[in-house]
Amino acid sequence: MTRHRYNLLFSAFAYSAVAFCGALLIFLFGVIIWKGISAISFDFLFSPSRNFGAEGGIVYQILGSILLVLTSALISFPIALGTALFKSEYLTNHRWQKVSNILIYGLNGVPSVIFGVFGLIFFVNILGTGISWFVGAIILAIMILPTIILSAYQSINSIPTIYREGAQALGFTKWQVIKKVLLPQGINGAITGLLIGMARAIGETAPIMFIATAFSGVDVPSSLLEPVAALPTHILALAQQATNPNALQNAWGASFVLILLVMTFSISALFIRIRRQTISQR
Amino acid sequence: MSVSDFHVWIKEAHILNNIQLNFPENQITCIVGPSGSGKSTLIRSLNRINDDVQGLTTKGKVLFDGQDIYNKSVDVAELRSEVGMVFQKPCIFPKSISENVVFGVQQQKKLSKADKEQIVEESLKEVALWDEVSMRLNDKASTLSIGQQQRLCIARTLALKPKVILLDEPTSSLDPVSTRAIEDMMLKLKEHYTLVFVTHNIQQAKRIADNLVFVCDGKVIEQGQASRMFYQPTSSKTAAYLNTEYCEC
Repeated sequence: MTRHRYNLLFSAFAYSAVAFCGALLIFLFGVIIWKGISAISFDFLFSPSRNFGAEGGIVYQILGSILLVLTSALISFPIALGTALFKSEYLTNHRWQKVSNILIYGLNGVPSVIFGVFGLIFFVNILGTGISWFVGAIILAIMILPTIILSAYQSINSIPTIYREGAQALGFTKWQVIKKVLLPQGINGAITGLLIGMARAIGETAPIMFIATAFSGVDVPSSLLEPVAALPTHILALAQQATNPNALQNAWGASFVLILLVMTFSISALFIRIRRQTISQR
Repeated sequence: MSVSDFHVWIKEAHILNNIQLNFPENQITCIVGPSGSGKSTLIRSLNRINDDVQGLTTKGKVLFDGQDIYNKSVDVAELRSEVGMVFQKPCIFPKSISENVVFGVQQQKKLSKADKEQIVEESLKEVALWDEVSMRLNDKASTLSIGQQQRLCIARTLALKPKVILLDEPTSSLDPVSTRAIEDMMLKLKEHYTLVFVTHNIQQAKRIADNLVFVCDGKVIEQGQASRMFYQPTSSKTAAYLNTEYCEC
């Protein structure tokens, strides 16, 4: 009887944990959608902000955020893929495997504000780049490297050895094995990691607020060394003007747009992951 | 192809101990022995597919076309296209049947569409798969049965026109009918190729082997013509193993 009761108790705990998480998510999204959707209009999405964000829209913030995250993806992806291939296919020594894990997880554990401070000191001060969106993209790229490396590594490393040996036995060189066998089968995992990384990067405030963004007076940058406007820093700035109801309204609207962008990346990642599973089950 | 004074260690373990072997051309040489005896390591040493194994060291020579394949100047990829290999489990790539056949050979040289079609037809006919799949060459190779997949793997190896084909227990995951189909095919293939074949199935060795090599505990206990070894083995260990599939080495 007690066994049965414990079983019931545990089931009840598991169900209520799920219900709690679900309710939290629905509440959070509900508030943002409820508050944000009334700010959304064609003008809000497609016109620049005026009067320190209290009026006008967020078109340059959206463009700036997308520019930052796409550039960071372009910088990060090849480096991460190369690292993942090296770790999976070339790094055979057990001790170095461990060292590489420590380094990757270590990089993953660095708080995002530290990246921002590093960028400020190294790029802006020492290299004298000034506030630059490209520097911001580099910093975001470094920040999302571990996510992409680990996801790509796992999907490449989980390809059964028989495929490597089968291709080698057909006279493939190591590079041909990578290009013709491992990359086609492992690329989905790398792209999943990339999208998860982008979803994280687009929402980050701390790494870019000192080095890449400006709050007002910016449009589309014409060189690498100009600042951009971005959604998270814009929301932060608006939220600090808590006395102005218009500014707060726009902050909710910008939050709503940011959530939509993050969800786009996350859900795409989910779909690619599902598709990969169905391929491997075939 | 021949092996002389050949040793293999994996980390501290002495897997193969002073192997001397000769693989006569255009014959089937069957390597038998209990599991863990080193027969797989032996056949996998013949095209250096073991190279990536952690902690592997070798000593001695494996001669192919008069050259030691463990010599530093050897191009391993080229060696493997001349000494092909088929594994225990069929390894097909997520591509169509015909793409699988030309998957290896098109890395070696540029092929026109007609070349490809010709290679696909020839290779599939050699493994007696052509009649079964000629109508659906563009279907995914994964739609084939396991036995057909294994023959496809052999066809893919044949497309490279190797001189030697190594087969590491190629029928151990197959049903009896597919096993017979592959055995019949091997008997035909030996006209053009030198075959080296690992099996733990003594009856199978009896059916197809020209030469027999008995390996136990990392050593070659006996080798010679299969017909002689089955009826008059010199070593009592060979006699015991061939009769009872059990050996104390």
